[in-house]
Amino acid sequence: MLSTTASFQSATASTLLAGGFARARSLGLAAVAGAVALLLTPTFAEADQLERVQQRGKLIAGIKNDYPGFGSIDANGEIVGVEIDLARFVAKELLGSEDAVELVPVVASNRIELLNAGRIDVIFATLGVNADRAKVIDFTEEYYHMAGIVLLADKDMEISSWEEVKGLQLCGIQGNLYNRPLVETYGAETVLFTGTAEMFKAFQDNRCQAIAFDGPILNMKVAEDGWSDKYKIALDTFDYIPIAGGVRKGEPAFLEAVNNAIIAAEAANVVADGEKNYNLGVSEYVTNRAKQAAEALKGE
Amino acid sequence: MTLDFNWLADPFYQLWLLRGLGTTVLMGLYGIVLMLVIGIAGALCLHFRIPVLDTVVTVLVELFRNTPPLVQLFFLYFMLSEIGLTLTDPVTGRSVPLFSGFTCVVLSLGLYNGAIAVEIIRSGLLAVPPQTVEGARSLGYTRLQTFRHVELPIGLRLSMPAMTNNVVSLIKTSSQAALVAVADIMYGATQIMLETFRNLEVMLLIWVIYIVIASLAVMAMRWIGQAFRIPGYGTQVS
Repeated sequence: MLSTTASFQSATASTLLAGGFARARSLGLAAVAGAVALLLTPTFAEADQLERVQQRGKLIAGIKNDYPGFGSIDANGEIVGVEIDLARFVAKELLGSEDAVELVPVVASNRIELLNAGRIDVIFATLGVNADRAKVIDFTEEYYHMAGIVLLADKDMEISSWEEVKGLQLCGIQGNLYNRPLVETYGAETVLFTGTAEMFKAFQDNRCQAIAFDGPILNMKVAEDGWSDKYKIALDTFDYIPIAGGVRKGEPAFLEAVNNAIIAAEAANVVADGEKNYNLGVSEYVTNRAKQAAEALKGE
Repeated sequence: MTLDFNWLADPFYQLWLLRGLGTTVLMGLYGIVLMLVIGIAGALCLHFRIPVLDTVVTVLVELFRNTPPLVQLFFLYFMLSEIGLTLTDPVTGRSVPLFSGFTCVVLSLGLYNGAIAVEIIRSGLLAVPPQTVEGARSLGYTRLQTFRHVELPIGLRLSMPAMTNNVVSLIKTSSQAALVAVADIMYGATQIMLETFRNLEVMLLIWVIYIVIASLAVMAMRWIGQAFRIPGYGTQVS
């Protein structure tokens, strides 16, 4: 898993420099960091992403603002969530201040486009890792394991397997990885929206018989007032997907810096604490990652 | 840069695109019919200054013409069931919204472009020469007969160019159907883009498809204009 940390120890010249680079930054010596960055430039294409971010003094992160637990707007109008904390932590690692981050709300259907068009530097928006996406972007370290889709339905709906969704109208979100298997493998009819608010409204209006969407968000929804007495999670997921950040292809320095920052965040329990604070439940995966990251950093 | 259209070979994507195309064309046709009915009925109310009705039509025209079609669509789709427009499904016994997503899109297209059509047809009617109308009246035609046999036929012919624009606008506006989960061509395209990341190629295809549909509509309108042309009268068709 922690492959980049391992490569740290294989002491090539450039990784040693990068290690020194990381320490200099944590001391907040911007001038030293700049000098080291200059030393590093010959190894990479000129003006790479990391330098651009540092020159700008701000990390532009694509986040969700309608995904409770990961990134959503709270009662005070602040954007909160695990991925928001993570983005702030990464900004602090890269630029010295957790306020040096601009949070750009994205949705599943535009985040990769925005990244590749250069509008955002990094995606922290419940981005699932898969091979098709790996062709167009680079994934960072994985920091979460998300239950794929679960099925939310009326309390009295009797259903015991995914094979039984055949012919049912299922609400969902455009761009979800599971829409295709739902139609192709399980024969469901999908009714897909662009945002979760529309999806929940359409379901409550009975425009579909159930919702098939990401586990964390439906598990949280079904616990809400007005939902807990009427609906249930009728089917559990048939698949788990790893969640990672995303950066543009061909930016090794930036990818490595972000990876190191994510590992540092895990070691500092940013994800583990976030899971508790935002009611996502404590998962074994995150706990293990935090432990591993802490050990890896200690061993360095 | 290389364009990669391999995804077009995927039978699943072909199915999405073909079904989407069918839905888009069908929405467009129903929308145009509704738009014309609303346009003619509204113009009639305004033209005859029918008491009360003409005020109602004026208010409705301003309401639908001056609000974004997307807002109207969301209102129809999400709000109508809120205020009680539901019916009970005979099979499952659940109360479901009265209008399906498809119906909502057709209604919103008909209302938005219909409001514009009212003004287009009214302007056509105003352009009918008063001498022609007076001639018909002096020959003993009643006001209604004059409207039916003289003003409306000439007025509709005169409003053809502006109506062509309105038809094209209606077809293009139908692309917002994807936002209320109606599987039109745009909906299929979004899904394909998200799975293949061939955004440019998919957008190019969608572009071509809309150009073809809109051009066919323009050609049909031109053909109708030509077929119903009064020799020596009205706009010259090139």
